[in-house]
Amino acid sequence: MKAAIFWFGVIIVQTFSSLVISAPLTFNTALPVSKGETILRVQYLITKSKDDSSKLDRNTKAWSVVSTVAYGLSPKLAVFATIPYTHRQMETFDANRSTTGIADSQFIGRYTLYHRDFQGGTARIAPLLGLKIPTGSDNERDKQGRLPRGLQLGTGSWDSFGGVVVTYASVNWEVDAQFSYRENRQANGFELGDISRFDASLQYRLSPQNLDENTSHFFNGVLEVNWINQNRNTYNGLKDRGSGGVIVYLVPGAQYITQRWIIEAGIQIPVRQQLNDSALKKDYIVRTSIRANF
Amino acid sequence: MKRSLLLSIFLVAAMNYAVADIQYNIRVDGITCPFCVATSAKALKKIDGVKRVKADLENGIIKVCANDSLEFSDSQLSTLFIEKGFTYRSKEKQAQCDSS
Repeated sequence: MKAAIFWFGVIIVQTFSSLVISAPLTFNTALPVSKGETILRVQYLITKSKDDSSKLDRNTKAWSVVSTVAYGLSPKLAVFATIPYTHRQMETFDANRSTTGIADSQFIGRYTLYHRDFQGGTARIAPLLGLKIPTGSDNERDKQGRLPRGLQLGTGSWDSFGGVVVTYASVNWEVDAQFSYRENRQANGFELGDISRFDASLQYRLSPQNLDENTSHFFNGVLEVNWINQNRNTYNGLKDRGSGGVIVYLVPGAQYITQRWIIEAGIQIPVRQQLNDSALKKDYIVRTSIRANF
Repeated sequence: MKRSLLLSIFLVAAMNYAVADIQYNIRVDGITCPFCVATSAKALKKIDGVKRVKADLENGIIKVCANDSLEFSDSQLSTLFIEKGFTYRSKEKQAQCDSS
């Protein structure tokens, strides 16, 4: 099923795509979108977490197909919609539970406040505002009853976030950086901790080394950093001591860019995990993606 | 005989007119890869008379080969490139297109 969804996305992209340009692997807000242009990005993620310090000996796996559509309303204003379809599975010493379905969706508006072009380069600063809406169920059940919070597809809440994204690009390399803060709200007795994050991405052209008028393919090396700080979750007004903390990922990756599409892949490796109490540590996230403009 | 001669002259003149191409070298700031150019090239190719679009990334020049009847105005190019997210600077007209 997951493979079918991913390849359906690949076929759609290959069929209708036209022209694309570079952007980070792990965040969408730096995607360049011109007026009247639509970008489709389909990502396939595999997440693994074990290293559980609690007695439950939790071992979680997940895969997600995350579809993002971006559209340029004007040269300065772009809107983004992201809808994930996900499968989550948790094994403990005495159970194996899972769920599959649409998770919570995100909508973002980005306004380019500062834009300076120069020969062979550009610099842009764009604030953004977003809304996370509860399209994912927060009441998933199996034969053993309601699934634990970590397995639910959604949080049940409408959450807002804001931030700023900065881009500096030249003919040879591009740097993007984003800071965002998400204020999570309470729903059905649960509130996910607020999340602040900083992401930075360097994309460097490895091939071809020299450009000419016939250059039609790029191969970029990518290195990204994600710093994510999540506050403790709240259950019925009480803080969950075994949740939240800081994770820092280092993300080596690559992009192959043609005139019709981009394929890209990277692995998010946690290099620092300062998590609270028994919060589950991440092993890795593998991220593959295909992207095209229409 | 006279009619044939006139017809020949007319045909030769028409052929010369048909193959007479010019090239606009358009300086655009902000283009960093062929794919950035490609979105603009797509828009340029929709304009009647445009035949080919190529880019010299190192110098930020987009080369448009077109019928010599085509006239670009600064405001037309400025609007086109603003909508694509780039900054139009200037244009130069060249008597012949670069060989493809």
